[in-house]
Amino acid sequence: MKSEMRQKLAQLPFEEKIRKVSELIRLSRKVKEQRVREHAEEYPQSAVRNPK
Amino acid sequence: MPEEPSAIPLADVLRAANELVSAGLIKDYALGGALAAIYYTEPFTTYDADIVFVASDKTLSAGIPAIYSHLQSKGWRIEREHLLIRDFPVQFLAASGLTEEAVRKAKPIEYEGVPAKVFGPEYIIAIAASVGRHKDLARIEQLTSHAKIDKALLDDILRRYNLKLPKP
Repeated sequence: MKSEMRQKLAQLPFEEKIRKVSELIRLSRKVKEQRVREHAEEYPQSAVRNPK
Repeated sequence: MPEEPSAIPLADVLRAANELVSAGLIKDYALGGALAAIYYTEPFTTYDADIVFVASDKTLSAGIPAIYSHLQSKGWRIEREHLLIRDFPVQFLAASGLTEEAVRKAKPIEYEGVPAKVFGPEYIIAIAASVGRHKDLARIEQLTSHAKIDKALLDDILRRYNLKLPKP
């Protein structure tokens, strides 16, 4: 990330920053879930062998 | 479309910490860890909140059983080393030495109308230097790049606790 952009984000009110962190958490969970789904579709046998 | 509620119930966490002070279960506290760093830097992903407290109970347990019991009675759940409020993990960490000084010197703030305190950037840097994991080194870089640092205060803390900043 560009330094000016980081500086701009650093100056946001704390409440706004926490909302952005919440968005990052949601996105990260979504990506993780999607990867798990894609993996299960690509390797259906691994899901059978390792149901966890 | 209605706005989705924040995934981080920080106001509730701080309100609960204030209640612990009022109930005499802890003497003082401050927000530490990644969320304290975010007060001064750009937002980044973190999955828990650290509440660093000065214990009222100076025995080995630091009053943690009573703190857990109080929070559980308010609907918090326990999951390993975390307490969960609305599925968001919070760690309550007893302060000592450098972290106790960080709590006592913490910056008063107000978050969504809730009074609280957050570690000063110089203390966050010193604590990160004392821990020294990869993410702590990144935190030092973020803070030195984007926060206003009182260099004399930071040098004083580092000297008194015999700490050194990593070389860039």
